[in-house]
Amino acid sequence: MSANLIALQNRFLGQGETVYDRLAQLAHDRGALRDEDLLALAKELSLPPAHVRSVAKFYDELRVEAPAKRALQVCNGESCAVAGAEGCHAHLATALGGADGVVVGEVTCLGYCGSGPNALLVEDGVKKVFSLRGEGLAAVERALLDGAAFDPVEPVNVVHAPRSDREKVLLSRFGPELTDLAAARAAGVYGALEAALKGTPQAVVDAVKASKIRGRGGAGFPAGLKLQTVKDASSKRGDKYVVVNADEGDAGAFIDKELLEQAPHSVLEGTILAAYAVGASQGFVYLRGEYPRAIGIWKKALADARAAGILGDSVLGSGFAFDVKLVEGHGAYICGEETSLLRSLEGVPAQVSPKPPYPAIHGYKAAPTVVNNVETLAAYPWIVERGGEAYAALGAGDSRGTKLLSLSGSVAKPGLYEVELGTTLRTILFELAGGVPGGKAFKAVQIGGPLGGIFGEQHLDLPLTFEALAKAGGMLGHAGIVVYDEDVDLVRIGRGLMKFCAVESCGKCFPCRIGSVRATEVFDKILAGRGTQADIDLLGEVNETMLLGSLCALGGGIPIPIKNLLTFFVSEFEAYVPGAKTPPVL
Amino acid sequence: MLKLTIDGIEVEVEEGTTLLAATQKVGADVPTLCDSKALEPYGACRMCLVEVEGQKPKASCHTPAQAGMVVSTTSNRLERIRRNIVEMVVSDHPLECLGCAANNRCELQAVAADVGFRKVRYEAPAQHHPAPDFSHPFLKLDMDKCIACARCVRVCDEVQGSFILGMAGRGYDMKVIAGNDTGFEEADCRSCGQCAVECPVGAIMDRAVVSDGLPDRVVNTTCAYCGVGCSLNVHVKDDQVTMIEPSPQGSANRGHACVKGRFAHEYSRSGDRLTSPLMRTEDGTFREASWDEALDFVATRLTEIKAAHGPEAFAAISSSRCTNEENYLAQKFTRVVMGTNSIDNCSRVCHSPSAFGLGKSLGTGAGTNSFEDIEHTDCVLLVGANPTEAHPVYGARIKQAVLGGAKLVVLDPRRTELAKLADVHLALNPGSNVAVVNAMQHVVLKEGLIDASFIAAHTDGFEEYAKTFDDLTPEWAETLSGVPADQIREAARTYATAGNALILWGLGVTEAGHGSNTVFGLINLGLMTGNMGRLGTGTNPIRGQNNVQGASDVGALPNVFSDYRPVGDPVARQEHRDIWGVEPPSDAGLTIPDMFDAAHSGRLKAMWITAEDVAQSDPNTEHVVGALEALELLVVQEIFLSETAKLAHVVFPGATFLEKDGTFVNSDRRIQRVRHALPVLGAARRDLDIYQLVAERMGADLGFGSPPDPAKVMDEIAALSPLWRGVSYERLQGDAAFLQWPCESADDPGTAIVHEGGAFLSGKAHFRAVPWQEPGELPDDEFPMFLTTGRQLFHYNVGTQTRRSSLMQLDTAKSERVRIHPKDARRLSIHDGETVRVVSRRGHIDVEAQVTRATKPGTVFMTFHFPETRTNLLLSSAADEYTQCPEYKVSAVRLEKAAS
Repeated sequence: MSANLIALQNRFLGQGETVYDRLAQLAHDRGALRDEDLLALAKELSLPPAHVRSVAKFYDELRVEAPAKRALQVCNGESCAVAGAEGCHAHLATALGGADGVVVGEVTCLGYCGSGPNALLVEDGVKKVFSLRGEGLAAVERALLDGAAFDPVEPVNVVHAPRSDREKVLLSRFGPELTDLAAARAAGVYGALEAALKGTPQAVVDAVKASKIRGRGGAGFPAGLKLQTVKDASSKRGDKYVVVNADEGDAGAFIDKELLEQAPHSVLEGTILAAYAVGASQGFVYLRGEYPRAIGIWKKALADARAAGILGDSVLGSGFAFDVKLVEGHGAYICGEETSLLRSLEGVPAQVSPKPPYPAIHGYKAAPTVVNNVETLAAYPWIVERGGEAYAALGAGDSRGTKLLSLSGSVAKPGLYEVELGTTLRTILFELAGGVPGGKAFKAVQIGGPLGGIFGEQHLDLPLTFEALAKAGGMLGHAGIVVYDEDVDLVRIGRGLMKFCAVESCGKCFPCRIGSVRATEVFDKILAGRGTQADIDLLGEVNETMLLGSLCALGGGIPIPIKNLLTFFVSEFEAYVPGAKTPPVL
Repeated sequence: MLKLTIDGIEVEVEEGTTLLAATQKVGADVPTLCDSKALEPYGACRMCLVEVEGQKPKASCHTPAQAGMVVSTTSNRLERIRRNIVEMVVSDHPLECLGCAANNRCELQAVAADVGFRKVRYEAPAQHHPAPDFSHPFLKLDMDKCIACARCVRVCDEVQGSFILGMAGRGYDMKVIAGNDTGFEEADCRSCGQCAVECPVGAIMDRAVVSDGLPDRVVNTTCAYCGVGCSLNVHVKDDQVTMIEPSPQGSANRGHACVKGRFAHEYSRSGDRLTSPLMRTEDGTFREASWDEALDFVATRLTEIKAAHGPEAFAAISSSRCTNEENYLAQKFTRVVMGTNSIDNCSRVCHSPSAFGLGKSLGTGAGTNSFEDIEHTDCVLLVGANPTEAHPVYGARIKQAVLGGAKLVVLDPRRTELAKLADVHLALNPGSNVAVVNAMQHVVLKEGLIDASFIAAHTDGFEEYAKTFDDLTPEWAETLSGVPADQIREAARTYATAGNALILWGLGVTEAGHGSNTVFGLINLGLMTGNMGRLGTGTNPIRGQNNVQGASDVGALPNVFSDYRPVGDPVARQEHRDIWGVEPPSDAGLTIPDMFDAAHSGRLKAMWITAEDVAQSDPNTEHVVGALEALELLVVQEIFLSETAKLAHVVFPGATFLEKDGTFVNSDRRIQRVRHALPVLGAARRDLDIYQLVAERMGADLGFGSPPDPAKVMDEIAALSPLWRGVSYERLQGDAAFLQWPCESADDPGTAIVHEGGAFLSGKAHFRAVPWQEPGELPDDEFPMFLTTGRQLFHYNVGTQTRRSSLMQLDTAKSERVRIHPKDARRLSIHDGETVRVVSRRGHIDVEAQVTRATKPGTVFMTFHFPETRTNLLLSSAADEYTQCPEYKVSAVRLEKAAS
């Protein structure tokens, strides 16, 4: 359905320009998009009004119809929820109800999951992220009530040093100082690229293949195979693309965020390596709008790289031409799904597309496209520099190399960790992160974001690998890890996950669009104490329908933790439905 | 090909086949809601999940079949999942099936029954209850019933290409919107109705279905509007048409239709239909007469006139709106009973130059390729045609091809919908076609973009022809056309270097003083670049009327018999003599313009005009009316009392296409059946019968029974027409059955591409250099602007049908407007909506002005759909030098403020 809309845009906007970009610019300038703005834009661009409107209405930030002087959004992600975000939100909504020009809303995950509950304030198009912990709540309340300036300090995620140099891959060139290009180059960034440009593109592909690295975005697809597929794919117009998926939307994950902010040039180096490997001349970084600091850093990084000849007509003087466009997300979790992301880049409504055809063959504007996660790309320089075999020597089983983990929730030392794949959960949670604080008992851990499995005590000796977690009924995913202590009500967590799915579903496939709403309603009935075993059984059937029937990993993934809850933690439901049993169908 | 196993049955399918298509091949009935044969796979409803051994269940609609797959279309969990999906859908859908107009034709209902859905288990589920939207004149939107399958949105995009609809919002609140969510009324909907065809439930429906319910019967027939030849299914209840839907099997329309074919049918039961013969009285008024009286009168007078003045005192005009069989009978009556070749049809005033040029250069007067070629071409050169309005279903296919990557070059003074999408749009002055086309040939020749081997193998006359182009430069053409020379170069290069390129043209080419020469030039372009005789190439006129091709094919022309066999050809004469039993007249007869001249001069005494409002639609109206008034006998066969009928001595009430049987030939030579859906109204008769009844009273028999059997008529056409020899009703039996001529024997499947591989019917194709000549008139100080004319989407010709239909509810369809560019409007202080006076050398009319960038500065545009506006009164009386096709497209006018 989208091909014609792309063709129309190409005709009336020129190649590469999209309705999405124009809408984003307008929304940024005006703080809102009213009906008449949409119509005027359609007229200006000679495009169908239904197209322009459909694009706008897909994104939380482009859907805003009335500008707010100050928009305050409280995070509703799991880590923040555990830290009391719901209460903060309720309090602020009441306290600021009458404040002039203030709108209080919600957002999911700002990437400081260890410092939650967090919030985002948008004023005059500027985004400020801060924690509501301690004085934070009172401070923002006061400032907004008084209409006073509010300049909070952005939190910092703790980055823990790896246990040994062996586990130092992604964190080997990492730190706030490396946003500076000269410093990055002094630290060796772009060395791998320089060397690779002297060799063949196939050599880069071969190194990545030899490393056996699997995609870090969640699906775990062999990255070398993807590069080879794109390299070998024929392109009708001769164009190929590399897309950096920096739309890290999982609540509890701040892995890409930290890489984007503390190793931007390494990520860019990996991106250029991928482009050289497959023969792409254009790249995109699709970076979520909830990471304002990262966006600022990338604007500068790309400009610096262009000025230094690292991007442009001849990358590092090699004759290889490649440039990267930064595209900001505007509040749609689903755009982290690769086909949705590609539609968003194309400027058409970002509903998920069926696969096959896979993006590697039929991606951005139907051309072969590498869509790689930030962390995957960040590993390429190391792999190219040290050789694929060195990387493959790390890890366990079919899961090679190291993985960054972001830990939050009921854990003593939240923050970012790099570990070798195969490290057990127990080691990670208790040895590295210090276990559950405050003398409370461990109840559960969710690994891999909202779509990841929820595991209990009995799973703590699982090694952190793609295959072990899948076998246990979960997935490694992007490896955002949230720990729940004995006080956390997992039924409420389950309800929150389904609600998240309902809010973030693209709406295309029936099981996800309707199922997530119905499941949330069933959860609500149970939480209200009106549920019966029949409701739990119905929940099981909805879950199965979503799990097996959904078009993409959102509708097909949210049921994974729900299934875990209903099997490993069915006793949690007893508080609401006495004698609750695992449903027969799940 | 690859093999897989489905439900235990091994099946072989082509690479790229979806699992769903493969399951259908073994007869499995996998339920779907969002899938449609007309659309790309979408993957939303997930009802079509199947089990694939070793994998998670797959949505079969978008999963390609792979070799060795073992597939089951049912399993316990599949049944459960399908039931659960239906339950989810129904949980946000009204449960009022019995009161719903879609009851019994609802796909959700059928699928729900199929999967064994019983009840919704959700307690008080959140639901959407949008208010119904009544703003569309033909459709009712009740989005309360919408299941968000997006089929309406997709068909508006993937087939119609109008993008009126969209899916806006996200998740559970995603919904179908029209335009900027303002409802249909403000969304510029083209009203093709395809969204209603696709809607699986009752969310978008024909208003007629909502009010009238299910039909008694459904009759397959062929549309009687433009030359696309859409196959239609007519729904009839109590002998009234309730709804017309496109036939999914239609070969020309592939399940699509336009606003006219679908919604403009009420004229057939309009209160002012003629239902009784009329005879002129002494005082000049009409009285109703019996058939016997009217037939006897006509038979007697024709016999007397023939006896007194000879056969040449008679002439007939038959109609490209009528069937092949009726046209054949009209010409047979004229030739056999009256003994003259003076029969003509209205292709004279539209595409006679196309038939002439194609015939001379290539050997037959029809388009070379088919509609399908548009999906296989790399470049379309579209000249003087506005198909998205005049041929909407084919126009939509052109648009899809262009959006899909085909290059588009448009030659048109107007910025039409397709011109907006063009790679190169040459907005040339009306009347300058030959100059621009000559300059394009110059560029191709001078830049060496020719296909020398094709020219050598399949053409003659090239060298001599090529010598004439030295001075015909783009710079020269620029001075005549107003188009920058570089644009002309770009246009020529785009066409010549595209790979497979095809040429389409419309009346903007032919209705000109030198229309035939433009046709020759376009054919030259095709020949010199080798863009002939292959899929995706060719030279094709887009015929304007439903059977304008057929009327000429079957011999309603003064110089040829059926299949364009010259009346002087001895073999043809012998064959006709054998079958007709009389010696056919040998001298070519009168063309339509000649007929009027002959009437003025007194040589022509009697005319029989069928379904052709010449007093309205032909140029130089006063000359035509004077001619008709001078006749001793004017017989008019019509469905309404047209301007021409008002001048008749006898009016025979004919039948509409919904009331008769026969065949039409569409623009790409597709012969398709017309089948009666309604009884003939009142005492009106089928046109076929009337010729026979008059013949009988003149002591003759047309030879097909009384009333004549159309199948037998076709048998005789086939017998006398070498390129139709394989055509018969037997082969045209099924719904949407068709044969494309040439079809030379009973086992000839018909011909999609004529002259395939360069095997021209003329042997070698001929190049023909054409000189530049000025149009009949050019703007000057007194009349400084061009007036050009054409059609708009919501009307057809002089509006006889569309003005008696619900299309008149549409604002844009209510009255005529003169379209003027903002620059000119500013200069003349004319405001949008103001009444202005358009003055030409022939007279003046007052009409509302519409200020629009769709026309170029210096040129104004009007349609000819509104007889009361009398646009034709303004037009030049110049005509094509070879075919006498009038120059409707080029007149000089000035605009004045209307006298208050």
